[in-house]
Amino acid sequence: MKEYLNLFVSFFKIGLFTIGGGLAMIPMFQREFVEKKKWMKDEEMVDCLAVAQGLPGVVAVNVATYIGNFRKGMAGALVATVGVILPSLVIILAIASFLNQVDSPYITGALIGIKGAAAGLIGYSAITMGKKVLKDYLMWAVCIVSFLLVFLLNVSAVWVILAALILGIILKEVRK
Amino acid sequence: MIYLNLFIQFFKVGLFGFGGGLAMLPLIYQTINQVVPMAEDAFANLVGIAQATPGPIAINAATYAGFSASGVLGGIVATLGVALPAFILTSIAASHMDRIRPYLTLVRPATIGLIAAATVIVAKGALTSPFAIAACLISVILMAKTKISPIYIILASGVLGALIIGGIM
Repeated sequence: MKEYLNLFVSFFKIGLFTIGGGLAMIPMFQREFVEKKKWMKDEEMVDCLAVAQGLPGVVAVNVATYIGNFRKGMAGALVATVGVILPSLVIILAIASFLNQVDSPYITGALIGIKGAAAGLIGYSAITMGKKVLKDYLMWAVCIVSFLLVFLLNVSAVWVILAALILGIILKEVRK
Repeated sequence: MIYLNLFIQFFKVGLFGFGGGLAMLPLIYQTINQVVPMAEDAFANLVGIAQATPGPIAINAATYAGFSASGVLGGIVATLGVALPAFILTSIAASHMDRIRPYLTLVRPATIGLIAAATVIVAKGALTSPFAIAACLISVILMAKTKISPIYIILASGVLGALIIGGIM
């Protein structure tokens, strides 16, 4: 029971305090589950993010389902998913019921600060996880090509993950 | 039956929406218009609120769109619809990870590349003022040198932004 509560609280907190969507949650997931709770290694977090970005759907829900499942099976997945969604549901229903618009210089100012910090935090995650994962020249090459495909050519993350998966399967067969 | 319709339409958004919340917004606009027509400025409101409030952007957008179509229950139904495909697909993948993992050798570096691209994309939209650049640099230093939760870093950046920039405007 304690484990379920633990899962729920962690994901609820991340859902409640992350502005900027699923990608902005990556540093939160990493610090909470890899560094603080030590539920998984950096490499396992990267596997989780690979699955989350390679499948369709809401990235945050993919991560919650994956980590919930990793800890406590289907029931854990459900608890974590409800945890990450619930703050959104309550906040948006409240705003939509009582406010028509979020428009104030204070909110605009807060968002400028939050977005700036979010950029730094995501970059930090990329660096720390990259240090653990990028072990040889081939991996560096795949990382850089993936970055360029998404950043310069606007290729969907799903195609990049699929291509890397197929390349990995071919490589494994060839090395056999 | 508007609730069933909302559920099915948003289930489709969750199933075919690749690339996370922002990339899903156009699909959400088309979808909500199939259920209940929504004015463009109302949609602009939705986009602003979905990004400015905590939580996954696609969930925020679905809740808002469902609510404006048919109240609180509509919001709940649309949210469940958009979340369910991710839940089902990831549950299937997660229970087969032992078989999938050996083939992820090159998917891992690709994922790092994707996160790096996300960084640059977020930074391009975010680092438009000296304050934002300072918030970005200080956040990186705090993450690297301390054990502070990124949640507090985000909260502090928001409060300082509201006081410093909001105060000036």
